[in-house]
Amino acid sequence: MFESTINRLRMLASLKLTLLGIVALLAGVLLAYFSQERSSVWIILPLVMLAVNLLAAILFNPRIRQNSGLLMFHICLLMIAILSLLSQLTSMKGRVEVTQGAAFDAGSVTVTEQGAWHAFSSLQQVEFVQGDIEVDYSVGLRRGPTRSQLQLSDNNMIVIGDNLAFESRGYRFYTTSNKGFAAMVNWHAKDGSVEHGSIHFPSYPLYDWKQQNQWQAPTGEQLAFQLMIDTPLDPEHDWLLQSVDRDGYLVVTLPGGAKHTLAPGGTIELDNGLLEFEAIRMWMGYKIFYDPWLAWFFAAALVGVAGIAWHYSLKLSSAGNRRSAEDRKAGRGRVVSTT
Amino acid sequence: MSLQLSPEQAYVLIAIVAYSLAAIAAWAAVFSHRRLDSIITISASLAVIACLLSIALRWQQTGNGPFLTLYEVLLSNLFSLGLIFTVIYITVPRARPSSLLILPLLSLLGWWTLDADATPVELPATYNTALLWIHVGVGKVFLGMNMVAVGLAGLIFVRQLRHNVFLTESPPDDEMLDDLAWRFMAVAFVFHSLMLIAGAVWAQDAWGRFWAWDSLETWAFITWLAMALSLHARVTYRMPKWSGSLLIFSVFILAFLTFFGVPFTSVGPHKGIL
Repeated sequence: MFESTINRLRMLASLKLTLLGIVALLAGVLLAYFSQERSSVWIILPLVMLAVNLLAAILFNPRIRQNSGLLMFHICLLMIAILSLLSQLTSMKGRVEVTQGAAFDAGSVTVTEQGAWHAFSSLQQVEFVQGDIEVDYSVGLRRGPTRSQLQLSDNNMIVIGDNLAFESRGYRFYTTSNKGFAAMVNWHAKDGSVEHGSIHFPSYPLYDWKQQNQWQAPTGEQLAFQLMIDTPLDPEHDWLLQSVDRDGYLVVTLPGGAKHTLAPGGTIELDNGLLEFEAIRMWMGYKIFYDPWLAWFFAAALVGVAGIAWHYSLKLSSAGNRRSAEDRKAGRGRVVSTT
Repeated sequence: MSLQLSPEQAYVLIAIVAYSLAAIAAWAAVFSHRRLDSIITISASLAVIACLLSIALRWQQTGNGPFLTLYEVLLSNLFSLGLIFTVIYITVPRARPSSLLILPLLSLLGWWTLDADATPVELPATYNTALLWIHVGVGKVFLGMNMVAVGLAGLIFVRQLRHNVFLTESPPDDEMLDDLAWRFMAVAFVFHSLMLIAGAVWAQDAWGRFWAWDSLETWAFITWLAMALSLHARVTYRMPKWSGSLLIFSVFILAFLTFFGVPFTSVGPHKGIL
């Protein structure tokens, strides 16, 4: 009984099954690629089949077991397959816009992907305040380096940007091309209470022509805003998009259609309160990435490649030595010409 | 193609002439039964130097390495593939028969380079990292090793065709060519794996994801799978040598499309549209 089970498991280690699995995975990847369906069952099924085949091969294939480098490579491949599953269960991807001068708020994060085992609570412990933002642009509006300043909870300032993320509690914050202007507004209610807020305008300079947004006052009035930046875009020259010293004004459209122009510091008296336009600032859009297995992925991949390189170097050097010995025995020189 | 060449393109033309001369010498050696190794080595080395000078001139002009446009990628590969071939030609005499196919291929690649649009493009900020160099560097070694394997496997395949007595009768034998071709494939597999790892680390830093199934990533993975399939098929079955050659060819075609086709026909981070 035990022996027959072992024999069946040995069959799972078949190299022919490996070939079948790789062909199926190739077909699955091509199918997913051309159908634009990224998490296809046609990829998952061959991967599961290959993982079982890999495990059986590690346990029963003498060729793999007797070659340390080959064994190392295949164990690492299996580890990567297991890590992929764990990553799916625990990882999280999201995005958030943070206004200059405001603290990061986990509640405003839009989660785009989240594993079933991901604990969202640790994201709420991430703390930073958005500082100044700068983006270089060259002729033709080609985006250059991005510099986003963050004030951390220990009051230290850091600058992040292209190729440099901010990491806290396992969450990585990446600057994106999505950034723009924000109008800082205060709402003074009739009862004397004041609410602070910001209105984010569409990504700049991508939507330079559409710097509009709407906002509902706490008392229900629907207001439309258009931000007019004093300095127009100049695609003919290099320029710097920055959050400091930005001049401009707001055109506010009231529910009845009446328009008001507000400079920073200006106010509009409405039926139920007073709207104050405080200043123009910027906001930065961040991509958030969380995967606790990232370092393990890297280690498994690197050790795996080291294993296969070791295996091939031993194999190739022994084959080379054998051939040279055969050549010497046969009195042959090395082939040095095509003729 | 423009008749007026810039200095950097003039160096590419010199490289084409030198690669073509080396190719003619390689084939003349077969027909004439003479050893022309020195001519091949010198011509190929000259071509590599000319490519290097062309890259240096362009770098001075644009301030960026040759990473972005089809022209730059072709130019840098004309250099790296030529360099890898020349080093192997000098240090691994058994691999010299590969010159019969590789040198004409490099000449054709040179003509394609001259035909490509040489307008410079600004380097995106996310490309300003050492990881790009590592990713591109190991990728070029992969393609070079794969190309040499194709050069060797191609001879086996050509010998299967009729009316090729001169190739059939000339040493080295198919056994040795096949053995050597698969050794280069093994090295290529290691470097392709490294290319995927370096690319994933770069993508994580630059775009906040290590794998996103973008066009280039998908086709690079397909190439890796095709290599894994070929290496497994070789140890699983006693394949006729010509079918092994076909597998090596298939991998090279996939790699060639991945390097010179996919990045320039799809949108995505690799094209520099951010």
